Amino acid sequence: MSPMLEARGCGLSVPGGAAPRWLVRGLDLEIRAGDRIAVLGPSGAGKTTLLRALTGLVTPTEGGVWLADRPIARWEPRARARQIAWLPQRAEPWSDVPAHEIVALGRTPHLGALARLGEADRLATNAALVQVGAETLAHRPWSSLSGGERQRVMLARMLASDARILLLDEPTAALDVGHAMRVMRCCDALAADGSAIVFATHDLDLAQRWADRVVCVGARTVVGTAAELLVPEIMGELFDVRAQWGRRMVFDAP
Amino acid sequence: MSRARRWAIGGGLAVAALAITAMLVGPGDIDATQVLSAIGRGLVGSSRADDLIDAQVWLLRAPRVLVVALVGAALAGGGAVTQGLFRNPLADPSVLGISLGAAFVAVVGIFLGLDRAGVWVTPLLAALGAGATLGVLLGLATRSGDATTLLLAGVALGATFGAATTCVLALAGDRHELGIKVLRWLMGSFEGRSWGHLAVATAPIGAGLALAVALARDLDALALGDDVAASLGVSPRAVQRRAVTAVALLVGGATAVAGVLGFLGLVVPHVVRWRLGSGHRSLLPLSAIVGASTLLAVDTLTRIAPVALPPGIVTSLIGAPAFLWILLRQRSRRPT
Repeated sequence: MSPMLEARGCGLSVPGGAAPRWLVRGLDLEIRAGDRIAVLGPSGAGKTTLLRALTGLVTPTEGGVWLADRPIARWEPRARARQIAWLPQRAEPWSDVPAHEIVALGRTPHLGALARLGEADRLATNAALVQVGAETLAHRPWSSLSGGERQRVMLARMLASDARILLLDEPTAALDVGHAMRVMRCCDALAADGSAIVFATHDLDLAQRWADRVVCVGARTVVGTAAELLVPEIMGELFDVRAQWGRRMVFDAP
Repeated sequence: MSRARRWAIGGGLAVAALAITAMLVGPGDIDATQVLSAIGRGLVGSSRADDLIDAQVWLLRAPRVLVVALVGAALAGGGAVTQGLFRNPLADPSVLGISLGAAFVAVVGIFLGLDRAGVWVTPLLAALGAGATLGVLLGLATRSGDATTLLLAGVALGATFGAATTCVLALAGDRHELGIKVLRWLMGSFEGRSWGHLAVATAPIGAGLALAVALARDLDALALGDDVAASLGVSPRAVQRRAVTAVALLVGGATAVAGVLGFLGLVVPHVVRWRLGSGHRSLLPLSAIVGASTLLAVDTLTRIAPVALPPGIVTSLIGAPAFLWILLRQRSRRPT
């Protein structure tokens, strides 16, 4: 089976001083159905840029991203958007819309410029709200939602697109441990259902719990299984700290 | 029936009722029944060419009323598109200096006598002025991405165009006629608007409204920012280009035929959004309908009022405090 989404020799750089500064270099990553992949690295290392490249929002400096064996830039944007959904770290509507209108935006790639939301779109919107446990929020205005509720609504917007490749940038950064867990459980269920999940985080705990594979973005780009990479030596180097195994509090959803 | 549809029907009826009411008012001693029967005769196509009342109603009052409705629809629709484009409820063509940009280029055209080349010259120049101003603002907004910068830049551009227009007027000091014509126009006026004016305004405003309505879905997609729109398969650059064209046509067309009318594009979409939500599919057409009826009401009031007030003054008198109110509401609602 060929991968759903694939990075081949992917390099991402930003202009800096005399030579470009490389955020990611030589990344080979195959993303398949059911994958749960964590993009791990310190703040500012390039996690967001990598996710944006995988979404097709930025063009890699070298190498490329292939969606279903075709370079991602060659996809018609709406067709691409029906397969890949992206959750940015932060996005706010500019006017105080009710939650269900935000979720319905996820249907955009399925709609023509003049089409109104049809029955299928309404069903997908409602199903997405149920999936993240936010059905009671549907008619609440955005300004009345708490941080955790907003993130669930945003997650529902991704799901409403019916895309099978879900790229989430710091999906739990603003959430307490309980809400974070509910969001990740939701991702887990989606992966079990055949979606591919890629999430960026700087939270080792989160990566350890929820990822099968890890992409380390830092001084060098490393890909491996969670068991291989989530060890003190590699994490210590990645985050420039001394790390060691130890006892810690463990949380679980009720 | 959906709320939006009820509003559309109610708004359409209001436009018709206000248009007829507006036709009852005007110079000439004609009573309501005479006007109504003249309207009726005109609608069934049996107007009498030699009848003074028919001529008054159909040659003087009707085109003026239709121009008012069209301009109201254009400014409110243009305001709704501008707000969606800049993702800012305070982005109004008059606040951002877009209307003044349109007026400035049109005044230069009049000063140089270009408008004698054809009736379409002034609307075209006004649309170019509006489009260029909008382009500059968009460039600034993309660079800084900050709502305050956008508004302040708009104020600065507006002041520049206002001053530049005054300069042109000063240069035309010895051409008294021209000065009066431009000044009255700048205040916003519907005096003596004819079928000719209506014809000139209909093309750009009609095209602008059609373009705006076709942009509804894409403006919705911009709600969460350019990147999210791009991830949803909507190209922000393409939306911007088309939105700028739509606003240029709407504001250019309206300004060319009615001068500068402030704040209509701010207040009307705000009320519609507040009552009906932000989806542009209903926001754009309803803003146009509500804008038409609002400006009809304002224009009729200014003509009934004991002192003849220019309609532009009245929209600003209502609109500027509304701007403050929206600004304060924005601040207090900002999430913590």
